[in-house]
Amino acid sequence: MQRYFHEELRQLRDDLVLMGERALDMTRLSLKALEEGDDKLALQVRGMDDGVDDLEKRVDREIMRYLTLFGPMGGDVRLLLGARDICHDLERVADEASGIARRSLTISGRGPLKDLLMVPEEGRLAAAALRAAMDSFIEGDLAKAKGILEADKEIDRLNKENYLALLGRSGDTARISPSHVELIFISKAYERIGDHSKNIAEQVIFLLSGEDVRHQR
Amino acid sequence: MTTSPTRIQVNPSVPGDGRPDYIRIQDYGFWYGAKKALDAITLDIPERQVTAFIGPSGCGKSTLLRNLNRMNDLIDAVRHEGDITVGGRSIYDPTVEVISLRRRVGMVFQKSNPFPKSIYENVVYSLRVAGVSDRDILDETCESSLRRAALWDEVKDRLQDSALGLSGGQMQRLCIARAIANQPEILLMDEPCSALDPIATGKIEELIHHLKAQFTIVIVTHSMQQAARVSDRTAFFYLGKLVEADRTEKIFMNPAQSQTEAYISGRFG
Repeated sequence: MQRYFHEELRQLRDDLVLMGERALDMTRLSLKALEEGDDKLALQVRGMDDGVDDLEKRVDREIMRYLTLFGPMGGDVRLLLGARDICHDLERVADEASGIARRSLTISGRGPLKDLLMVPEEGRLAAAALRAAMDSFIEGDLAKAKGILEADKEIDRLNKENYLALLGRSGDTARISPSHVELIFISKAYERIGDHSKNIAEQVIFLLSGEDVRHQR
Repeated sequence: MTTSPTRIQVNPSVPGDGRPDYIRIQDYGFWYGAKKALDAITLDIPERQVTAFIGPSGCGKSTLLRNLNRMNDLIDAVRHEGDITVGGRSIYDPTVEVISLRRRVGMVFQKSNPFPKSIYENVVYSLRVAGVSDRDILDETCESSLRRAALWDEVKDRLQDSALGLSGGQMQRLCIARAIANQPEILLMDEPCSALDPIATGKIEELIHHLKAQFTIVIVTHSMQQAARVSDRTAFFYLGKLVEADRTEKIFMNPAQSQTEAYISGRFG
């Protein structure tokens, strides 16, 4: 029997999907702004963060309301608990993307940086992981969610390579240019976006199967 | 300095709220003989919303509900102070006919109480009593009331069967249909699901959710979960006093009074 309050779960899912779309847009646009040295785009990304913060608060309210009023059970409980974690991961993704845009502006202010190391590739992989994580949530696709756990390792590897490449080129950290320091932070931010995507995938696995796969190597 | 009882105000920021107060209970006290059952209750109930009365046994919630259509007048040695108005008019106005008040303020009881008659005759009973004999009117009222009570599809082919052959949940919806047939403005429900299984309870709750578009509904329930699920506003009573009334979401998430918090979280007593 479909109950009138089940509509609120649909609304919650819709808000989470919207939040995922915004976070993904910010991730992609932050990379474009970095690659093209587009300050206007970077500022646009910075301006998108507040909207995601508002969505986070709305989703939190919806979860708390449903838990308090409608006595959820089974898959509905998993959805609500998973949604809470997914929502916070998405908010962190938006923060990372906003931080990347801020560092892009700093780099751009010092003059264009020709060599972006493997950061663009890392950024594309991070955006793809986030997209796949949200798709697995929307489609209820367990296999896709499990695939993201492996994809995250490649993002970690690229982040490490970026750091080592700069070290190898400069000889020691003291000789790394300020713009490349910013680039290392950007690389780390995309690595974090990969981690958040992995967290989302773990929640989707929990939601679909009840299995807790966190902290497994 | 004396303080007057707090009037519970409707929060206009809440969707669906901000409706005019349809029932106004003002500084209302009620006695069964020497025993004071209600003490200085002041509460506004907005129209076309569901208001739930909750509280432990003996807190006065059913007493107040039954006073909204003066059901307690049938008990000896009762008296009241203060006032209750419905649509701006006191229910104790000497010119108010109690029978007509009860037609405007219908009631559904804890235990379904169908008459030992057919399903059809149960629904149109009040019309028969009022002298209506036009078959078209009776048929139309029967069908529309059963439809509004979400029972029509289940009984349309056996309207002349005895109502006593229905399941518990169907009987309760039949009683709601019978109350609706009277075209009331307000529906009072006194523990309407306490004798029903979860599926039948779910159907009644769905019904309540849909009926609030047409009626002002006040429900007494021992189930806090039910109050949380079905009501827009909740009033918590204890020892004959109104402790707190507010939007249901507020009452169950972040009540203002520690007594309410203790009751809803099971830490009472």
